[in-house]
Amino acid sequence: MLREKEALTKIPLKLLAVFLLTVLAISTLLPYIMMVSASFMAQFEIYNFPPRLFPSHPKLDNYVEMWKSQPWGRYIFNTVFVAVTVVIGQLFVISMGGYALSRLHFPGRDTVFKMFIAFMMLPGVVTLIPGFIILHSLRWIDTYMALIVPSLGNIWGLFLMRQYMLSLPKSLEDAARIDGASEFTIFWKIILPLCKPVLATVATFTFLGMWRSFLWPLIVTRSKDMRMIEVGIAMFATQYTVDYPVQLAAATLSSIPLIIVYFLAQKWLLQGIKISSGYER
Amino acid sequence: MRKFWVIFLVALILATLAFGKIKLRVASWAGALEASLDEKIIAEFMKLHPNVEVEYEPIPSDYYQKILTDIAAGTPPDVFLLDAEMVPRYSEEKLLLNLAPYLARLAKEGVSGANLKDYFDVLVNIFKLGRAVYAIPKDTSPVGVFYNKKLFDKYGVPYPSEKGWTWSEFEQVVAKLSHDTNGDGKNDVWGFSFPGWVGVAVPLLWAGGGEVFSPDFTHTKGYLNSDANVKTYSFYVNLLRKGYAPDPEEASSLGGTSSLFYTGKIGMVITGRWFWIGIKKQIKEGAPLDIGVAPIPHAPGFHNVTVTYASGWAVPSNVKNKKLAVELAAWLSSEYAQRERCLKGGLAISANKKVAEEQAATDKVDSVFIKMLDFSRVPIGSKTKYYRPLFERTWGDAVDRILIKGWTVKKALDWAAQQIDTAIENGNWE
Repeated sequence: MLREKEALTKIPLKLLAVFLLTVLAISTLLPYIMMVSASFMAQFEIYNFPPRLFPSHPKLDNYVEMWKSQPWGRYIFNTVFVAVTVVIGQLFVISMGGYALSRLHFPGRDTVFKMFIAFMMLPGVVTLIPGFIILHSLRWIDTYMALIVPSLGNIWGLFLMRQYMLSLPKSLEDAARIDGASEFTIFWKIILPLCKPVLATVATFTFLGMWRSFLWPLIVTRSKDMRMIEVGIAMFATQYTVDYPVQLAAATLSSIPLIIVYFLAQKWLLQGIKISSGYER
Repeated sequence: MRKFWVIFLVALILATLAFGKIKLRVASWAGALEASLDEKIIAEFMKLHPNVEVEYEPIPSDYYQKILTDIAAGTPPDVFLLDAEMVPRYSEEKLLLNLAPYLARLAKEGVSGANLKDYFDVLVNIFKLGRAVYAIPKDTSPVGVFYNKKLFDKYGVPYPSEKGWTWSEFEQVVAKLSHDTNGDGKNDVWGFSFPGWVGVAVPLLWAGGGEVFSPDFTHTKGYLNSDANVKTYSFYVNLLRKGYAPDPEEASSLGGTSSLFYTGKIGMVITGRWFWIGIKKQIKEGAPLDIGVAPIPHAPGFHNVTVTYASGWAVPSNVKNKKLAVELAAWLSSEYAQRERCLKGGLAISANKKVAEEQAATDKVDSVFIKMLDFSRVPIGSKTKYYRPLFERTWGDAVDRILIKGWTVKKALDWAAQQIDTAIENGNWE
């Protein structure tokens, strides 16, 4: 009887949850649907009030104009290449850093870590000009090196990795050490496989961050050949006018690879988000 | 012997690579369309100068941050586009090359774009401080009144004259255009859009006989809050309160001024010529618009006046090839460049008098704007560093106080003048 009562009270709660989630899903999806829809509209149709959800006469001209006006193939290649390279490189660097700062004992270890944390507090804009000067003296301006190398370090990722590795029991590596495993083998074969969730978290946010990065690629590149997608999208807005349909066509195009990545790596992405929000450990 | 030739050949290749062509860089904030036109103009320059290679860098956003980073790092572009409002600060910080002596020499050599007499005087004056010239005008956009002829026809309102009109004529027109079409007791078609933006408000104040700064640009008290300015701005605020313009917040919730104009809800918009670029595209795509342009209305007893905004090609003071950089800057404003950008591209009004004449013959709207150059003044921001961002920001705050807090125009302008003058005195003008 009591169970039946419990089940009955759970039904409205479930309905409420489904209702709230549906509202959330619609409010999240609606702007995206409107963006895609507006990318098929004439500019004056976008300005209609009340706004139309679907174009009265869908047209592909915005996509044709968008594609013809800039080297999008090159922009997409640059963005994918830079984002993937940075993700791989960054995971390698921060996992080794996290290992050193959590599992190895050397003088000044904690001071080094505190220095990293202190640097985390610096706003990015402070290091913009010094960073640019360093890259310029290395002759890296307008090259892939400028887009990739400065992004390989990620203090937030390093911090996450160190904290996660600290939570792993020491007995794991002791057993391997008795079996004669080297430090690198312990790191590579024992500790790293256990860190998959945190690696996924960092990979997720790094990939998204690189895909959406704007200011740094703008500052360190000069030629169109080295530009990335976000900079290309901004080209449809000038000082006084914005070509919304064409800009939205470019934004739609730029979102497609992200959607593909999402479906391919859904499991890892969700796990990553859970970890970063402290939901699962 | 063979070894010698190999070394000689390698040295030759290295020398060619190192000293082969002079490289110059041009930066601008161009969007996709303008960038393609700029690239064509630059390609023509390289044809005329086979020993020069020009790299073009369109920077669509965070423009001045990138330019300043480049300058600070000692790698400035050789030529860059500069807003009139940035001239006072950049020249004071000695970031800009005085182009005058170079242009005089290049003009004698017959270099296209180097003769300042080819440009409208008002545009040259925008980039002049004392005897120095800090940029060559690229093109220009005067501020005027755009009106939708279809809405005027619908309500039987005569079009405003291209020769100018007074406040009372303006008030009659906005009253006739405003309508309550759904009978809810509030207008939903309006005569005009309220001019809150400082860029159009300042010329409106001029047209009422006022000024906003003292002649030496040291203070605003007695100018910005003068009786003339209070009277002028009160005129527009009263029209808004009579319901002849949508409340700015209401306009924004209905999609913004452009949206309301394009859809026939607003009859007139006071803005710069750049508005025409978007409208032309709308018309091309089938928007039901028929456009006319008139000068901004003036107070009785005063003459036509407006402002014309401009950007120009500047050269940083620390570039290596100064003369060549100035030659490139001149080329970017040459007759050829003006034809590509303004006649074919239709992006703005040509800065070159001869090309502007041709432009007037091909586009009715542009012809009215070109006539406005006869009575256009230079933007205040091109003469004082206290305009951007201090004056612009304070003006915006004052308008908010009028529209949101219900302050009188007098109280808001007194407050604004006090704020600006105190900031200037204390050195807090950034």
